[in-house]
Amino acid sequence: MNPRSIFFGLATVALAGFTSTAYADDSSPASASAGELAQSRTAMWRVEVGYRGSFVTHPGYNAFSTQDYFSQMSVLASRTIFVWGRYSFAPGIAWDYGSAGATDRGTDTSSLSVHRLSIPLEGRAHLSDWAYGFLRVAPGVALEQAELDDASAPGAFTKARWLFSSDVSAGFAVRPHLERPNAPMHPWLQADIGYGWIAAQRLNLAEDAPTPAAMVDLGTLAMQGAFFRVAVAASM
Amino acid sequence: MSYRTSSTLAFAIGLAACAGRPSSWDAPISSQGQSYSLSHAVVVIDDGLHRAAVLTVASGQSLTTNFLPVGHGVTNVTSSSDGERLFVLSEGDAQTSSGTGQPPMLTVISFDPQTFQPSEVTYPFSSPLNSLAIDPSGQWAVAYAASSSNTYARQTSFIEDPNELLFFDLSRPSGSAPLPFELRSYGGSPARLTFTPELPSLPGGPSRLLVVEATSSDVHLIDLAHVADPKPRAEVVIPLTSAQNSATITPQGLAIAPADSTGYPKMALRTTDRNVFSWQLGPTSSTATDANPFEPSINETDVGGVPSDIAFVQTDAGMRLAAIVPGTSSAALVDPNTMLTTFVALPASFSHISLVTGSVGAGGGSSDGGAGGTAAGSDVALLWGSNASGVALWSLGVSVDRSYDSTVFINVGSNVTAVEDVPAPNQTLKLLEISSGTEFFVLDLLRQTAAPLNASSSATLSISPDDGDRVWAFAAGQTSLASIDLLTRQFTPLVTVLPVSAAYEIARAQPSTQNAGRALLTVSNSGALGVTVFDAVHPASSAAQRYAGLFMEGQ
Repeated sequence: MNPRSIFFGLATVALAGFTSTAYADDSSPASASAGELAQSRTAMWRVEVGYRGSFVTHPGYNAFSTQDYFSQMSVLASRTIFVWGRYSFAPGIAWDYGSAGATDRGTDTSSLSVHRLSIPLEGRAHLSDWAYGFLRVAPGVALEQAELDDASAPGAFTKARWLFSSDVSAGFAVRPHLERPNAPMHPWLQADIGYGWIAAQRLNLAEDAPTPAAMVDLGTLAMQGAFFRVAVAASM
Repeated sequence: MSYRTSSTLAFAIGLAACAGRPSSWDAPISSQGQSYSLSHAVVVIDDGLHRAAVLTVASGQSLTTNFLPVGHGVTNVTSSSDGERLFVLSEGDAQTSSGTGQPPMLTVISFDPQTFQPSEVTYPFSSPLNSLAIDPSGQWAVAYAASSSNTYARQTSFIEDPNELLFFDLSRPSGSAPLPFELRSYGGSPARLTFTPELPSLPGGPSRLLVVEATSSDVHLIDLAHVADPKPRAEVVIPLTSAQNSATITPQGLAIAPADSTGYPKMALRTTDRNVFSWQLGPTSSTATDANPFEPSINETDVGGVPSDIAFVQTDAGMRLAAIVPGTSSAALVDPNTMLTTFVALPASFSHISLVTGSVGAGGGSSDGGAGGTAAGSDVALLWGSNASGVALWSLGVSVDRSYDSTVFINVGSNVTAVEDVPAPNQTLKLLEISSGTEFFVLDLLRQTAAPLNASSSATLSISPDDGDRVWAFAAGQTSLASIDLLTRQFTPLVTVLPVSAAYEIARAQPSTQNAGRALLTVSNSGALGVTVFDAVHPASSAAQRYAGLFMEGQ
């Protein structure tokens, strides 16, 4: 399945979930009292692991990928700390990691890896104890590590730099009815789409050598663009 | 937001974001990566991205790279003789039925004399051509179709008209159309084009000619003053036929005497035949209004064998045409007026003649006899090549009356394959390259000595174009090079990190500074182009600066 299909499918699910939020609460067969819902939400610790696909159209990314697409692994942990009726707020901590590489002009190999550490601040609108929609803002920092190997220099040209980053996304989470009654952990499936932003930087790569060559200037790189994410999670 | 609207929006975002990168990132880098030296820059053609990397050094070893567009499908690259311009001929894209695609074009790269900022002008044309002749005076460039030793040369289209010349007036603005000129064909095609200097005594007034040597045993003379006429004058055609047989004669080289005591310009042509053709351009007998005011009177002279080189020279008996005949180890001096020939026995079988009068002074040579005691105003020639184990200085001031005493042989023990001129103020030196490639000699024309220098492997030599103080020697594909002082023959060894493909000494391009010094650029074709910059006057490996991956930049 290609990234486009995944994106299309998940976007459809997420947006459809949002558009149906206003009706879901009343139509849910498992409609519960406000007190029961509040109890289940307030105590929620949550851990999720997922896949994130980003669409990076900035020309600086062309040196590192034959497509405008960047894959990452995504790990997140959060804790619900406020509850207001059907709504709750859960901050957390997240780590995204991904890398890309390409052969440029038939001679050079290039690679780019990105670590993103962020503080996701997530507002949730609960439809029931088995489904909620969420809006997430995730300020943070990102470490971009770029490398270019060219036969005109014995050493690799590299650059690593921490940069400010931020994500905004919206998504939908559902709890499949697979668990045993009174199970200590609850599984979740979720998806979100949004826009990711990492500050732009000049890709002036320096050779890793005792007497390095002058820097190679690959222009500016801005890892920015729409993304989707699918994840499995567990709450307790 | 409805489900359908949401889905459409999501699909549109996904579709837009999934495009591939521009094809430029996958355009291959030519392994040939040809580089060319100009006076203030080194230019490397990046044919894959249809651009030229113009490398200049402003101060220190700081390299500046400017990328300029060139046409698609480079077929020929030639620099001007003054090193100020580079001419890039391209065949363009294959034309589609819709007429899209880039046409063939000539791109001329030059520099602002104040800022040294490079720029280009382009002259598109219709049918691809693969060869270029550049006017030394800078007014004309002529494109034509011919087989050539140029790296890029190839037949560029399914059908070619080998007798079409395109004249590009280089003073006209970018986009100007060239002037077509159709040669009268006798079954051949242009093999060599030569721009004459101004011929002050040409009937009809001073003018310059383009001489076209064709493969079909004929020579064409085109008056450059009338190329741009609404109806250009037809060229003068000189047919070449052998006096001995009907064998095909192929032109091999031209010699020009702009004027002599008779007042009219003279030219001579050597061929694959033992006869040398010569002609004088006197007044025409034609009364046609559109006829050229000059016409050639042609003579044919047997020089005793097939000549390998010819030149007009000044002797003690006046101007002569000197023809070097390696087969008989002799030279023939032909009086261009009477066609009387004097044969001079040479000390060895030489194949080339170079006039060195300007280097040693007219009538120069030693004063202790032998190649000396010459008549004032006469020439001195350097003879080399073929199977001779050295070179000879030929004093033409005694060549007719005392031909037995006119040469001095300088033995270097091996066949000289090339003679490199050294610029002033060291013009009395010549650099002799030997067939082995591992040995070369510094020839002192005044002292008539040849000092050897040895290399551990076959070396490529490059003389400083500025003052001739030094010569650069490097072995292609290796990391060692050396700067050799031509006067003292002291050398400075240098090393580079990468194998050297070419080395060029250029002037630093520092705006508002007349003499900013000089830099040596070594070019490595490894990877995406590497360059090492040295100070040319005080070279040191420790002070050199490397640059790598240059073709990855500027995309």
